[in-house]
Amino acid sequence: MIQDILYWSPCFMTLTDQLFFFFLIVSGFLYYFAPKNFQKHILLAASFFFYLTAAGIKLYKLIFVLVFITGITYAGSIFIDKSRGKNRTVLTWVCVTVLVLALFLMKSAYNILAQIFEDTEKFGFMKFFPLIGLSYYTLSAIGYILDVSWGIYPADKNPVNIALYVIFFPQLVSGPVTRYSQMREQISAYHPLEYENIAYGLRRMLWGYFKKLVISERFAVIVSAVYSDYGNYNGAYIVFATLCYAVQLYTDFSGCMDIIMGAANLFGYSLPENFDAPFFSLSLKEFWRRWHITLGTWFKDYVMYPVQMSKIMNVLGKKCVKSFGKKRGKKIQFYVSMFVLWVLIGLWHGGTAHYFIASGMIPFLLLTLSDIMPSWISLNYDNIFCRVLCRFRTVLLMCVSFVFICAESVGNALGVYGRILMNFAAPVTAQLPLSSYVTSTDIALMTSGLLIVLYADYLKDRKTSVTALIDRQRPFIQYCAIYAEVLAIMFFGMVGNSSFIYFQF
Amino acid sequence: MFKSKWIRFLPFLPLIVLLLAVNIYGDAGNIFHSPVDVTAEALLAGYPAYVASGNLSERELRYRYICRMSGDVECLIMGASTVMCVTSEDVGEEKFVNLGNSNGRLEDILAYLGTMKLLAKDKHIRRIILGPSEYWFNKKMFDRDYDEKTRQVLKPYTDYMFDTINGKDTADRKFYPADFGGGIYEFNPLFSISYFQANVNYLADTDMLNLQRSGIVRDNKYEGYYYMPDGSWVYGKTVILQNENDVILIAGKHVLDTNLLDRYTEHIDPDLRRNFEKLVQYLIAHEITVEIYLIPLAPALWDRLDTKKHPFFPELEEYLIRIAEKYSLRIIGSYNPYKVGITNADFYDARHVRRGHISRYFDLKAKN
Repeated sequence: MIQDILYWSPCFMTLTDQLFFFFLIVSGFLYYFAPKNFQKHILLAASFFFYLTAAGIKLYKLIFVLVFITGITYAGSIFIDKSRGKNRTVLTWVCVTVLVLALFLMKSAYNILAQIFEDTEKFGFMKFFPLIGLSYYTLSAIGYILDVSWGIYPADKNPVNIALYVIFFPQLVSGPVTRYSQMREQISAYHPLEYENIAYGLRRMLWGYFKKLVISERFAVIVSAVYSDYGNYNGAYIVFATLCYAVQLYTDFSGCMDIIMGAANLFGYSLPENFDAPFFSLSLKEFWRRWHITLGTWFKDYVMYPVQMSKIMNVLGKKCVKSFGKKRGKKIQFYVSMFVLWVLIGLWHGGTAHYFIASGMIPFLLLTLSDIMPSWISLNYDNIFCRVLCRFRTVLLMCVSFVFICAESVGNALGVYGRILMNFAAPVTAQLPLSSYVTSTDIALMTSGLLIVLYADYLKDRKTSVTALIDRQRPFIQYCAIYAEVLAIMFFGMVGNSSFIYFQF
Repeated sequence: MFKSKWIRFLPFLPLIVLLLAVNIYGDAGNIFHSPVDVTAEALLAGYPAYVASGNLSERELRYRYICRMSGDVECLIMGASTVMCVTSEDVGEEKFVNLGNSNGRLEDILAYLGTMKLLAKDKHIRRIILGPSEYWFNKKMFDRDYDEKTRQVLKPYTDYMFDTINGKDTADRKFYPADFGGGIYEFNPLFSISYFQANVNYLADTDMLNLQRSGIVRDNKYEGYYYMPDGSWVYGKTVILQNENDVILIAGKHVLDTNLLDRYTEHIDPDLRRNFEKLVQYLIAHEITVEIYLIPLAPALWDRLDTKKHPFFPELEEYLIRIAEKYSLRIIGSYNPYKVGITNADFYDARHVRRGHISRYFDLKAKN
């Protein structure tokens, strides 16, 4: 019987399942109507259940991983907090190394070895259970340990708080990567049932479902049609499909974030934003400040700055200053830290070559190039035409990376680039025309959906929001707007079996 | 109460009502309203019958048909969808029932025979035509199955028959009516958005106010699929109008879409082969004439097979010929269309021979 329980693996639940709504209703009911002292315990149990169904793995594996990660985080932080001097540093290094190793072994090791060696059978034991969300909450755990080590706040002695921080279900499978300082008070506080939380949460989730099911899935059809048969499409089609991928990725990932934020709001929690109208960025540098914000700031605060301030980098910096002059010398030091940062970000994305290049090396290269470009080459941001041009330029530069992701291998990506450069306007020889994959309704929905998302982002760029805009209207208009959103999802939402893109990390 | 902010959620209730109402009323998949019973009754009363949405649990229909039929059936044909168009005229038998169904596996045959045996409706059966298909001997085909749930419901009958043909003592087994579930308690389709969209499309194509879930075919004007009283299947007009060129296109698309050729690289599964032989032995031991009917692939599909890379069908045919010789069974037809002389024009698609063309190429009448 115990063995049956431990080997139990319940049905798979995703954020787009009806089961997920049922889960929200039941856990929300228990959460708000349970005694005050048990609120976070209920949320913890709900989070554990959600992860069990979302991960789709056997119970004993899940218990092992969660106990391991949470245990290291909790116990490690307490010991670190109590120790001083060299012991503190050593303990910090041990805890961080254990967590990083766990993440690397469970996630990336097999992928990396499979890329290098042909015979993958002997590494089969390294193909650990592909645990979704591991990358996100492990980073959160590492961040907590480092914060405690740096004395930003003391270690929390309540294991329930730490466990809930690590596996809080809305952020479990796809982030955002939270800091304990952002969650501490929320976890400790009692959350009464408030209309505003439920209303805002549901509206946020609705917006996320609209972006994912109505817009993203449709663009995905075009991307898939072209990239699965790129040899028969010319460069113009491939560029178009890559631009479609930019829309697909953004609406998918930001849609997922909206659903996650909305779900957190339902329980009275506020999670940090992960997007700030990234495609309105005027430069790549700005783009990376607006895209996957929590991941970027995490790596900046916990990797790049410590590396930059480290003794090795200081020594390197002094040597570079001596050899190349003060300005260039400091730049080289900066670029080396940036290189380390982007290598780790590339590895975080799974260890496959094409993802490593797309999410690590290409951004590093392009950011470095944009930094060393002479100032006279930059455009005047005061000019509206230049601003539009800069935004489009940013999107195109991002598409350089996206080609590798869409092509799913380095070889294919190089083939795609070959088609773009050598066969930009060649005749298309695909069996079915691209128009056969989408109907006129699809095109209308994609166009209008894209315009709506762009307008929403435009408002965000202006430090306001669609929600605020709608809330200023009369109640009838507000209801019409929400009805339109719901009906669009009901009639046109592509509710299939596709998951969210960032679940794979 | 009316000052409460929570009342602002009430205007959204109609959306939930709309979702539930369309899913329950439309019910294109016949999840909440099962027309199977009514359809089975109509067939047994001698009427050709249809299910309006085209969505029907074929296995449930066969089961209910068996439960209601009299015990005087003398001849059966069993197999996958490739045998479903065989009629009583083709086999030259009055008391004939076609028990073929889509993706029909050996398990389905055991389930039907098991049901008949438990209900003592097998007493007069003297002839069974088996139409072995790739589903009978190739486990790689199983992932293309869409009706696993019904198969699970019929599992007790399958297990009963399996134990019977393997010589186990099954005297204590009794018949318990199968519960196919369905109804308003099916939570997933009730709130499903994809089911809502399917129902919207379905309702848009039908007379919404006079929605018929099933009916009797009274004239040639009905253009959908339907069953004949002998259990055989009549394709809808759109399929009937498909010509030779469509068969060639479909064969190509079908193979690409379903990765079919990859499945034909398999060899016959030894477990499935053993069970088949046990079944043949059991039927012969009960003085039932067993005949094997090999339904050819359309030439457009056969031409895509490389006998070295895709040994499945030649191997299967060789095996069945050996079994026929071993047990002195009549074997009709061949998987190779060129051996039979059949052309693409005699097919609806890559696998299904046209109703009415079967007797041109295959003599299924009993040989005394």
